[in-house]
This record gives sequence, structure tokens and C-alpha cells, in this order.
Amino acid sequence: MSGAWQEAHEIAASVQAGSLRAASVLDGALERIEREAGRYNCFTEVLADQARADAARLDAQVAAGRKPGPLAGVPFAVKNLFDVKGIRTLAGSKINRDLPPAGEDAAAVRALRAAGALLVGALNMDEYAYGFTSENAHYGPVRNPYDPARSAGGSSGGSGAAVAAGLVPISLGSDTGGSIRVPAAFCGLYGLKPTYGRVSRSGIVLFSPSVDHVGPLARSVRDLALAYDLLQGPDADDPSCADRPAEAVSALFGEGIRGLRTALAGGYFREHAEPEAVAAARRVAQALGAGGEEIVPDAAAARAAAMIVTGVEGAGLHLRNLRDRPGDFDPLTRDRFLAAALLPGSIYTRAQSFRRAYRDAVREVFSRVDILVAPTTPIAAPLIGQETVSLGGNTFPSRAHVGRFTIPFSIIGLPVISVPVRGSALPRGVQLVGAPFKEVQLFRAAAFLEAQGIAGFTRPA
Amino acid sequence: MPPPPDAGALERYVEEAAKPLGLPIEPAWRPVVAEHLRRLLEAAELIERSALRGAEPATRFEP
Repeated sequence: MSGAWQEAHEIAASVQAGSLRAASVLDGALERIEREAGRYNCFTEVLADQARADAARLDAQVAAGRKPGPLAGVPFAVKNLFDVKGIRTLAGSKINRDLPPAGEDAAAVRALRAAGALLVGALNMDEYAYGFTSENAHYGPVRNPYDPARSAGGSSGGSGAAVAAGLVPISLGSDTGGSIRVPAAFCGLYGLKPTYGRVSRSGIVLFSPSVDHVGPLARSVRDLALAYDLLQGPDADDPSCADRPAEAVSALFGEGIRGLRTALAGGYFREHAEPEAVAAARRVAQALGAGGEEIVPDAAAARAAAMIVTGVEGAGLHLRNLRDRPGDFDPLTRDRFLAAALLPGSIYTRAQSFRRAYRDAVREVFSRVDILVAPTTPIAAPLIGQETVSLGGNTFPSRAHVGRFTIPFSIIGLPVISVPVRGSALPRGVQLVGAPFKEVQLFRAAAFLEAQGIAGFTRPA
Repeated sequence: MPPPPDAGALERYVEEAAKPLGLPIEPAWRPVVAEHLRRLLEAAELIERSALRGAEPATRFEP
């Protein structure tokens, strides 16, 4: 197996055993990044010196007989909204170039580095995470490794492209309306949006504080679990973080899907989508032994509420810059923030009230099932610059339409894994959605699908 | 009351509402901002038509 496609757990096992040097793994990753990252425009900063120092320390530790961490020698990269000590946290913006370098790593970055992972760089994204296609006016679009004319998804597009292109085995992203799941789907990867409050967001640039999540992307379920187990748990520095102990998932793959009640999400989640997207979800549901369909009540209104909540919260965070330097925003971002800034406050409050009622209604669905299955996106990766998409005689704005199926689950903080479904020309993802804090059930189902060959990463040609 | 939905009125609303907030919205941006505002108002209407009613907002201040 070439270094490009070696999985994180394989690298770590070899480094732990002393049969592979972290410095050697890192050299391979840096060489690939130098050779290929430009093709996909996925990195905004490469941290070669820092990573080399970390690798040298790790190799010395192994040579001295000390056991390194569970991600020993694994190269990883992060969406450039995570603080990384010593570099500016761009969050895809021009404005943030004027900020001082971060004083310390974000909590999630610290967790992976403490486990022996080697941070090799920061990744391109939609400005301030407000988008689904990573078409960034300041840094250029992130290109899809399966077809560079197409979007890698967003807003964590660099996080998707870097892993799918074999530059790193694991990356970190953030997800407010689908920003981990969409690039995972478009790039043929596994992506986890954990339960709201499960993973610390301390040290990231927030987009919409009541909806933002942090999570990993990977090429295998095992790597996704390995990263997640290191990330999860309480953090006093993030007030949204739940005060409940971590529940490790890595050791539970052998349990299979016995006892899991699965249903296909019907109604809204079949509409205004390419037939292939619906078929992929049905195939996954059948493989998981789905007992039937469940209707998620008022999913369309949930998407509407999310538009309002995220837009208004984002506009609030950026109000000063919208006043002082609006010309420095990406127009795609600025114009939506400005519209949200002009919305009456009563509409935001009403959206938040709806959100609570919707959460309670969906809880009832999860009293009957453990896992809901739905397409991740209604379409495969659109072309970069594509403005509209036609489906069943209707025309939709393509960028917004990409989030149709992801938003109704993140607005109420449910855990979701997007799994890459095999067998289509362009990558497609299917969401496994669980009840709050039931990530372990999602990992059991994802591992089962991977073992059955229904889901899995396929290298780009 | 939400602003009226026709494009011209929305653009005028954008121009007027931006002033007290100190938001310098250039004339060329107004039609796009107005279109995004129209989508947000449509979203608000969709929520109003929902049978789901929450007694209190999903976020709360905890002293």
C-alpha cells in the first residue's frame, strides 16, 4: 500500500511498533502536498517546520522506549477556522489576515496533537463557513479530486479534498448546516457531525454559536472513530459542551447491527433530489434492515428556521466588520449577512421557538427508531460556478439546495455520519442520523455498511 | 411587521433599514441583499404556517 492511501490506524500501529518513523511518514505527506495540493487548492498554509519538530520528538520518544499516542505519526490538517498557535486563523476571510497569530491551538487540534498526530497545515473553506461549495473569492475555489471542475463541497471543502486526494488520512472540519457532511459526500469520505455539545469548539471561529459543531473526516470508519474518540468529552472552555463523559466507540465495531431499529426518512427527504441520491439512501436502508419509512415532521420549516437562526447569529458576530469594511467580505457571504442583519428580531425569536418544538417532535421519531437514513445531498457535486440546478421541472439555486437534507438534522444537534456509498460515477453520501449522544449506534451501522461493501472510499482516478 | 415582499419595496426597505444600523450597503448590492431578505421572509412565513409551536425559544440565558 502506498503512503498516500495508508489509513491512520495503520500508520499509528507501525510508528508505535517502531517499524516506521514518523519523520518518514511526514516526508511522504509533505511531498504529496507540495506536488498535488495546488491542483485542488485545498491548503492555505503548510506547517512543515512545526510538523518536522513534532515528528522528531515522536521518533525520539519511540526510540527511548516510551509509548506514543494512538495517532502516532499520523499527518492531519484542519479547516482554517481552527486556531493553530503561531498562524492567523483566516476562517476563509481577507479580514482575518489583519488579526494577530493565534496564541494557542484550538481544543480539537490540541487533542489530536497530544495523541501523536502531526499537524501539516490549514485548509481552504467558504468565508466564515457560510456556504456549501467552498467557492472562495479571496483564496479561490476548492476543487474536487474526482473532477477538478466540480466543487469539493463546503464549507469544509479543503478538509474533504485533502483526505480524498490522499494528502492526509484525517482532517477536521466544522458543521453548522452540513459543512462536514457535504464535503464528505462530494469527496467520497466518511464525515461525522457529532451531537451538539459532544466535541469542544473552543478555539474555533464560530459561524452560528447555537448550531456550530466540530468533527472529523476520514477514508474509513475506523479512522473516523479513532479521531472522534480523541475529540469527544466535556470542556469548560466551551460553554456549549455537554457535561457528560466520553463514550468511546472504537471498541464496539464487532457488535454489528443486531437490535438497531432503522427507518428510511420519507417525504421531504425524497423530494427535489436526483433519483440516484434517493436510490443510494434506499440501498443503505435496506442493507441495515430498515423496517419502513418515517416522516420527519416539518423538515421544510426546520430548514427555514435554520436559515434564519444561522444568518442572524452570523450577522451579529460580524456586524462591526459589515459596518466598517463590507467591501472586504466575499460578496457571496456579505450579501446574506447584510440581509440577515436587517431581519426583525421577532422573526429570529420565532425561529428559535419553532426549533424547540421541532426538536421535541423529532424526539418522538427516535422513540420508534434508532437510526434514520437519508441522502446527504440531493445532487452530486455541482460544477464550480454553477448557479442553478433543475430537478423534476423545478429550478433551484444550486449552492443553497445542496444543504436541503443536512440542515434539518443539525438545527437540532442530532449526531450524523455521512457514509460514502459505492457504485456511482461521482461520489454520493448517505446520512445515518441518530438520537442525541447515540454516536455509537451510528458507528456500528457505518462499520456494518463498510464491511458489507455498501459503503467505502474509492480512490479518485 | 415584516417588510413587504415585492422587489422594489424590499430594496427600499434595505436602503432605509440599513441607515440607522450604520450598514453602508452600496446601491449595486441592494438587489442581491433584497433577494436574500425575500428568502428569509419566505422562511419566516413557512415557520408561521407550521403546526409546531414552541412555548419558549431554544436558547436561554443561564445566570
